[in-house]
Amino acid sequence: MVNLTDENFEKEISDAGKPVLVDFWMQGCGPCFLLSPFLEKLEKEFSEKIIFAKVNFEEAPFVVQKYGINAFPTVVLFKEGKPLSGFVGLKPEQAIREWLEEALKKW
Amino acid sequence: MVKKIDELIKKYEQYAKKNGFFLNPDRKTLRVVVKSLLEREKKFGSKFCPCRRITGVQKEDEKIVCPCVYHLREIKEQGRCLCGLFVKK
Repeated sequence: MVNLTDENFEKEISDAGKPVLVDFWMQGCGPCFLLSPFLEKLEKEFSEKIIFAKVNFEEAPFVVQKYGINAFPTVVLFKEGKPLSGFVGLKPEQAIREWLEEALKKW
Repeated sequence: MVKKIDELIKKYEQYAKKNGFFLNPDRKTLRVVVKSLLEREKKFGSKFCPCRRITGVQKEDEKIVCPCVYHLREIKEQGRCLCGLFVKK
């Protein structure tokens, strides 16, 4: 997964050429820790269609503030730099898979 | 730490029962969340929700001490609190 910070966030999600899933996480957040392996597995399944990225809250305070993220984990799918869909909190792997499949159908 | 986790789980179990909901039946999730709460208490002085940002503004941060001010509405509307500690059924 690509690690995004305040420095590279906008450029990476705008120039990606395909949708970017961003996992906003925070140190000490138990559900963030539990979500991570689900996303790592899904990254392999969706590698041709979606870029998977992570944002550590402490490394990207401006980005977190810009997108009004106060709860973790928050997962947002960006296309051409714009947030299009997302969810907050821990979800089962299958629910995330279905959400991604639905999102890709719409595009 | 294991003993402290067990004790806090018991405490939250009683609280959930009293209020008509349950603890997350997924023991792994439950223990990870409770461990995070204890770590936050050690680091910041209170059991701040490990899924919410501490702002540094006391009045705001008091709202996210577990069980936070949001959990009842979240359980009612989404079937679980944000962190997945409490669930409807």
